[in-house]
Amino acid sequence: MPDRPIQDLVAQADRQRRVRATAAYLRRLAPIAAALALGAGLIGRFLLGWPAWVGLAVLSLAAIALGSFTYLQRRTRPTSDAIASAVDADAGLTGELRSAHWFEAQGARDAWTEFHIDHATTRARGVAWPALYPRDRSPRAWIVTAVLSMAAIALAVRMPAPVRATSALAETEAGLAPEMAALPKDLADKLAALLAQLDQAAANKDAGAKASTLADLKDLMAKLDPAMQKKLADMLEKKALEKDTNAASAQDARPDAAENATAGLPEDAKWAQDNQAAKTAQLDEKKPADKNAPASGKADSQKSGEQQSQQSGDAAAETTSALMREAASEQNSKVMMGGGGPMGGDSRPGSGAGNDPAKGAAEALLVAQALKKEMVEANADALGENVDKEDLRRKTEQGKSGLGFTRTAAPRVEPSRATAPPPVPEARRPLLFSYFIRR
Amino acid sequence: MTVTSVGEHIDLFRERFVRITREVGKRIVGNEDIVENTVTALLAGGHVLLEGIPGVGKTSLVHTLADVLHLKFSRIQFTPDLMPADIVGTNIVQEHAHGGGTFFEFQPGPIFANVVLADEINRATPKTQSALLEAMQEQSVSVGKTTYQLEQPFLVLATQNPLEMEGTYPLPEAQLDRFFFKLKVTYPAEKAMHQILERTTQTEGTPVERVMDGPEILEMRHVVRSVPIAKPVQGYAIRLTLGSHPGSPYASPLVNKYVRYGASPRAAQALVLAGKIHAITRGNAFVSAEDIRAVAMPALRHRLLLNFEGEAEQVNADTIVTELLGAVPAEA
Repeated sequence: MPDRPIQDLVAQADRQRRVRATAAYLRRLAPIAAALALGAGLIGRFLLGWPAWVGLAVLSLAAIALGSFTYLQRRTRPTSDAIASAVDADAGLTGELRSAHWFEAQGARDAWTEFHIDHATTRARGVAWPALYPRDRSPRAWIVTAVLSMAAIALAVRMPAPVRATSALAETEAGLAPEMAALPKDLADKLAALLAQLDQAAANKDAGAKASTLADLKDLMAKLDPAMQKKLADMLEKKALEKDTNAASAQDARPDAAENATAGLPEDAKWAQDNQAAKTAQLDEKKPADKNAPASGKADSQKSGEQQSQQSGDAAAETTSALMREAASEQNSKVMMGGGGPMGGDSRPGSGAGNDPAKGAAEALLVAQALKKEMVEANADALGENVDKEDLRRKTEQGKSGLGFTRTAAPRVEPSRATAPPPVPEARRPLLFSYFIRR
Repeated sequence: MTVTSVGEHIDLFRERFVRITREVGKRIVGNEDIVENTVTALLAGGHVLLEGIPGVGKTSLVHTLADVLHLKFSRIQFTPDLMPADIVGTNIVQEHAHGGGTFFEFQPGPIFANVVLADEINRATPKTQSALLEAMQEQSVSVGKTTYQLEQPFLVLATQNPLEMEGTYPLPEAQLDRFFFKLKVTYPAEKAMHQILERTTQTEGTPVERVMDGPEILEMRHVVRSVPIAKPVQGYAIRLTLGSHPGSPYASPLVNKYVRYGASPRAAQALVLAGKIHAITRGNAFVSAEDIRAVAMPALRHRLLLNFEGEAEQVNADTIVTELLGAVPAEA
């Protein structure tokens, strides 16, 4: 007979209880874990291109986690009052097992506690614990778990390559996309087929097929070169045409740009700039046409025109900047050309007169000192200095007046002696009514 | 005491308890739980406050109990002009038989009995009510410079009417706390009314036998105190008591809202002792949380002092205790 029968009984019952609870948890969690492993394998292989062992790894991790959980739950633990109370409630022992569990743990016993523990032991042994905590026998969840696990394993072991080949081809196509786009369609299809064959041969570890495919690929590349050259020549010609078109549109837009450049200038500066531009244009017209130009070619003549217009534009810009420098050096025109404000001056706050920051700061300081002086004078209220006669008199009256508040008694009202107001004369009564009663 | 004798003691206790309640039940119909709780208080050495509307058998219950138990019984009708000396007794002047002077002799009051019925206790003034304090707690009476021990067992059964509040003096908290149980005598059901009429409207009354005497009751009291209680279960009784205090970690929302002062340690004593009796009357040599829970209502309801809000909203203490029983867990 064990020394602590109640403790042992509670421990055994608690273990059975935990095993049952663990089985219930596992029944719910195991199919989910297997489904997760299968899902990870499927998604990883067919969508994300993960290696085949990912699904198996998820399945193994889930199995390890659930196994650890089961082990921890099934091991024997030291009992506590809470455990004894739970077991007692499950068995319907009305608190006897819990109480006896505590008394047995205390050690010292008298006749009453001995009787109590004996009685509790007898009752607890009479409980059919296996029937109270029956094993979880629901095969459906475990069948589902097994099927899902087998599928996850089969996916990893029995279904190699296709996902990988497709992805390799996709990568190749993605990497060669510009070149493939530039190729003729038949050549591009042939190249893609050869790359796919090469990947398939690599996946199947077929060295012969791989070598033959590589040879085909080299031939194709050798054939591909002339075609590529022709294609590139076409592309270059097309790009040159686009460039000429862009240059012509840029030349048309240049006078507009020059006109826009003078938009913000004053009238005299604008006039000077236009005059200088006209002179420059006359000089250009007088220059011989063949001085810097090539001998022949449409493109060359266009280039010459482009250079001329460019020179004309540069000269106009130089003239404008020279005028700007000249105007800025004069004192009177400074205000007119100083900025874009309504009066030609700088309307930025705090800048003071002109654009000289040192000067503006000095003036601001002077203004601040003046304001401060005004404030000091207003506050000082010095006799004869900043206070005029009227203020002085008023201040003197306020400060030195001998008048004070006089205490006047409040009129006493005695309701008991209050007299009624005098009666209204009868002659005035209609007038009174007409006054108070508006019609 | 041996292990086998423990079982015999439990059986004997149960047999006596059933004998008392069955005998009282011959006359008192429909209030079996009231009878059981009254006998429980008697065996725990406590006092009972019976509250109920007129005519539901409060006084008859006490009379019947006194008849069933072979004990000295006295009745005090509390009135506003009742004085403390009318309860505890007084010193009166006596002459020596052979002449030669006079002397004071103590004339015991009606409190010197085993079962005292304090009928309509809330009609007496607080001064007179407080005359019972020492007797209820210390089981003794002090008159002048002399203290007189009361005969055991001593049980005060007080009744009060909750309806008539005019001209009454609510019992002070100190005296309320000295009552082991407060039992609410409810109106009998229709079937019970039939039995009451059959027993009380015929030529012959219902006789009861005296089934127990004082020493047997004292022996039962001793047995009650021998019942072991595990510390976790005792902790439950303590948590219930502490939970009746506002601001306690075990306090329920109603306690925090409506209770001004909670139950005293006497309440925990009452819970444990009554729990032991409840357990042993069911043949158990241990006390469970269920036993504590079963006796919590009569042991706690009169020990909750409501605050102004609770009084204004006429909150029932039974509701608070019920919520407390649901809020405090049996396991720590």
